[in-house]
Amino acid sequence: MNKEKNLLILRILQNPFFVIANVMKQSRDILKIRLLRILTMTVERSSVGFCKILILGIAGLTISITGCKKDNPDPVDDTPKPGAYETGIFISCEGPFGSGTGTVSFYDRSTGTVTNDLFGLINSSATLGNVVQSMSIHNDKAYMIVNNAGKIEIVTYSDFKTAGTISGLNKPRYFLGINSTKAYVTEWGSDGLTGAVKVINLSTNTVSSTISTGNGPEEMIQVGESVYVACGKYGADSIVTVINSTTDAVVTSLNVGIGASSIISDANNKIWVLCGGDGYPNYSESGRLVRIDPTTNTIELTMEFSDPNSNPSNLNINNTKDKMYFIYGGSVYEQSTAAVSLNTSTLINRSFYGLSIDPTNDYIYGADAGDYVSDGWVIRYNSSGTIVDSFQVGVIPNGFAFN
Amino acid sequence: MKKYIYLVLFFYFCFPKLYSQQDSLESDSYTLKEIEVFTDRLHDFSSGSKILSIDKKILEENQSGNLSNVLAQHSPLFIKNYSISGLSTPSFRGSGAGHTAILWNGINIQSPTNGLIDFKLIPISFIDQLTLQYGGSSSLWGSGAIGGSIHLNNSAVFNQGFTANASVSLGSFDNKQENIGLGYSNDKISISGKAFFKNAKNDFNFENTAQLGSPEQTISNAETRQNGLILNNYFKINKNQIVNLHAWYQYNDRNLPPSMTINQSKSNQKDKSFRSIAEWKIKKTKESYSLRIAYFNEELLYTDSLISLESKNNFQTLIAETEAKFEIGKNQFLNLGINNTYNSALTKNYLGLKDRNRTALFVSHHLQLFSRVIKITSSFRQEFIFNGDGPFTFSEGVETWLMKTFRFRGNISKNYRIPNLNDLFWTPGGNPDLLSENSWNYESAIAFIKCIDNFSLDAEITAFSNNVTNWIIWLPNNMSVWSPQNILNVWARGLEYDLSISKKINKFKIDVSGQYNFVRSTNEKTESANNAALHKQLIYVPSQKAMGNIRLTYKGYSLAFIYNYIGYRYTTSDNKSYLNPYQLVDIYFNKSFFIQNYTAQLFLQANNILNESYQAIAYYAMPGASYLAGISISFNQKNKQQ
Repeated sequence: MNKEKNLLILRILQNPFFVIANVMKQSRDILKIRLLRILTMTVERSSVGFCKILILGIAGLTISITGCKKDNPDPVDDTPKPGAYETGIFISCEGPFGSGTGTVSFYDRSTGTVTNDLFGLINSSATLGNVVQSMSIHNDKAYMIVNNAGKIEIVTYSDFKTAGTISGLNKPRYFLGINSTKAYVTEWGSDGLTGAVKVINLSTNTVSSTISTGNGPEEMIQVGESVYVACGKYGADSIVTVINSTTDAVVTSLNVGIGASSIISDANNKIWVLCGGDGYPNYSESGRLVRIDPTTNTIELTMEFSDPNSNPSNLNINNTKDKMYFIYGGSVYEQSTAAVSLNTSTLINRSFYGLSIDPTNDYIYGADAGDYVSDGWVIRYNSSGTIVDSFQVGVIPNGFAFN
Repeated sequence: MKKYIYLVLFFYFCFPKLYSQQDSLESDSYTLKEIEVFTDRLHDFSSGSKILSIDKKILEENQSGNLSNVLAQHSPLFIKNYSISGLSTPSFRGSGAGHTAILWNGINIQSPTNGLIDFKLIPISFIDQLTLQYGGSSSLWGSGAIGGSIHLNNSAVFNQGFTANASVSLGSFDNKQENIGLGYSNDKISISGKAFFKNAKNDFNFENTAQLGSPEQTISNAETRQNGLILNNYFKINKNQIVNLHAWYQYNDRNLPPSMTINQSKSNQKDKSFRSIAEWKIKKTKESYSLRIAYFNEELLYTDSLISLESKNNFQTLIAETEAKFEIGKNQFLNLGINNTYNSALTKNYLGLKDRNRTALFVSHHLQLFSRVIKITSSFRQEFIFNGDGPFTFSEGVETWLMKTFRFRGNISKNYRIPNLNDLFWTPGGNPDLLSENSWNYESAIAFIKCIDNFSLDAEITAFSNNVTNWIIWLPNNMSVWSPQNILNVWARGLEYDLSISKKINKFKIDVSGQYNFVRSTNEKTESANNAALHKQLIYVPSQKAMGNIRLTYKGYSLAFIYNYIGYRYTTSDNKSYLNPYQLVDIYFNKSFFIQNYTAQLFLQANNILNESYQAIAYYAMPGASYLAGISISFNQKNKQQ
């Protein structure tokens, strides 16, 4: 018996196929099923020749299995940190094009830690949708504008728990809170051309009315009672639509220049609009930086960029509202609100997909989307353009919300 | 005629895998007397390459399926499915979607505009032979054959008299398909026509993992309507000459469902295609000549009423190809050929009509030594592109047998893919200065093959390496406009294990086959400051795919279990996000009845019986368990003189 056992073990070691054959032989005796006999015979007969192949196979398989470990994903440590989002920076990331979902990353200034996909982390892996265009903080809520999905996801920003959804929007772009019960959202419309501002009732999270604007409406700014809407992304229009935020009526529209998209207000309560130019395929009209006096709703100053082949974008302003920043020709420029001509010396010799200024320390935040299919980076610079540090965020970082 | 038989014999000798399959055919009452091999280049000049011929039985039982289903189940390709009705493209040996050449009767049918072909638009009922050639073979097939090539062939059957066939199938999610076919052949001509009509609602339920609490939802906007007609006609002018005419028309109207992260979709795509090939062949004792002319006209209309988008594209292809094959002595063939391909495309996305003409010269040589124990093939191809670069490619393959049991093969090839018209002319962003993508492909394999009486075993291990440079990807340029550039270098390498065993006892037959594929396809060069993607696996390329297949055949009964495992797929290039592995189990049952001139076949299929909830592409839901039942009736009235 013992000898037989030893022989069996030896055989097993020699050829694992004998194990299968043996098991089958035994079960065949019990079950006497013809099918099993065929299987047994097949295995027995193939085992002899197959043994040789197997040795080679095992060698190869070992290589691939050891390789496999490397190919399977590493576990990611993502433990939620509830209540930790009172102060810090939210970075909205568009997510992979086509089939991806956008995410929000959170950067804690004091510890320097980054939490990626905060929304999924807190809300049991729920997704924001395709494509997260921008994010705004208003009252105690954060609003994530999801362009393709045509909706706005709402969270309470202190704990980032979901607090509702506003749906029924067509290509929404940016959000502006007017008061505790009202907000404006720019959208490009179902055809991508019929620009509008949707008035949102924040008590019910529904669209209460629609205000027609210029085409391709983008960012908005409120000065006093008036809301200024920059219309004309990608050369779709060239106006700023002015809306009375109490009556929701269009007051006037100002012809600023083709490609109006970024808008800010400065320390003197003047409004600055950055127009990108007409862009592709004509490249005939250059971009412009335009100053508006909101008391008279007139254009006070127009500064034209020299190169029609480059579209200036991403106009931002510092905390004291006297220095503006924008991207043009592959670099970041600083522009004083007092200057009457464009600054031609670069501040940061690098272009970004998104740009913003931290109001607490005037740090410049540049979003680098890398290859657009992997996690992007945020690079921080101090106000003089010297690099401070960088951290990794979600896929295609685009917008910032500071708190 | 003898020539053809020789070719078939040669074919058997080259690819013993087929031996068992042909064997299975004979066991049924299908007697295909003569098979004509039209793409001689595949059989004569691919020694050293790995070839997989999909079993005829599989094609038969998937008469209401498409190329996407069959290749996902039975080949190492990873099929990227954008949901049930959307685009379906392959990744062959870790390569990109445009890196698999798709040839219909030897002519490339990849779209000139995006370099792709949607596998869902190729009905299995229109294909008589489905063959996969692994690895690069651009020197034989031209642009695109980097990861591999797929050959969809039609073959002639002579002396069969009158044949008629009709089948209907009904499946889950309101999937209905009807096929009809008519044919006539004598010893001089063979004519046949087949048509199919398919309607599917595709309204399956899925777990929406993108939403809070993963609610169960029903997919919307996924309806599909397809119909098509194919004509395959062969005329023997005399003993040495044959003229073949193929024409394939197809209309597809499908709604494209939204991804899980989007609530609704109103997008629709209509593809209309007409493809035709005329071929004239002359065969003499020591030489043969062939002339082929192909004309394709394709129309694509994409609409999305949500964003009032209407995009209409029309593209045409005209191909002329001629080749001459010579036998030199008893052990050598030489093939010389010239191909001219003209593409034109009219779309709003380009500024006006764009076209391209290219000419390629190709030479192949086959040498057999020691009475076919060693076979060596060499191929060269020089492409001349009007106003572009002209890639030169070659391949060198060797195959040898040891003791009639072991087969060793090896292959080295240089391959290419030319930029497609979108890459060159898309506005905005098209880059007319793009270069061709190049690849160096190496592979070697050892096979153990045994055929005794009613038993056959075929086991093979293959190792390959494929280095692709100048890989084209789209990225924003300095002006923030997305533009294609020759950026990536990708190194794909892997191991493939194949095993098939078949055993026949009286009328009972069992076939067992398994495949395991391991691929590392990594990014070897990045130009951006962010090189987190360096040495990382490409997105949507699983490093592991395993397949198992058991088929039991007894008299007219056939029962098959098909198992597939797909490993992790990364969704970001830094490999931080991924989709989980999934496994699919399908069961196919067939029963054939033979009554005089009639053959009836009843088929039942259960797909994804484990009801696995999976995604091939992130956030695109795929159906759970689904069923299909159908019946097919064939009639054959033999010619009287037989």
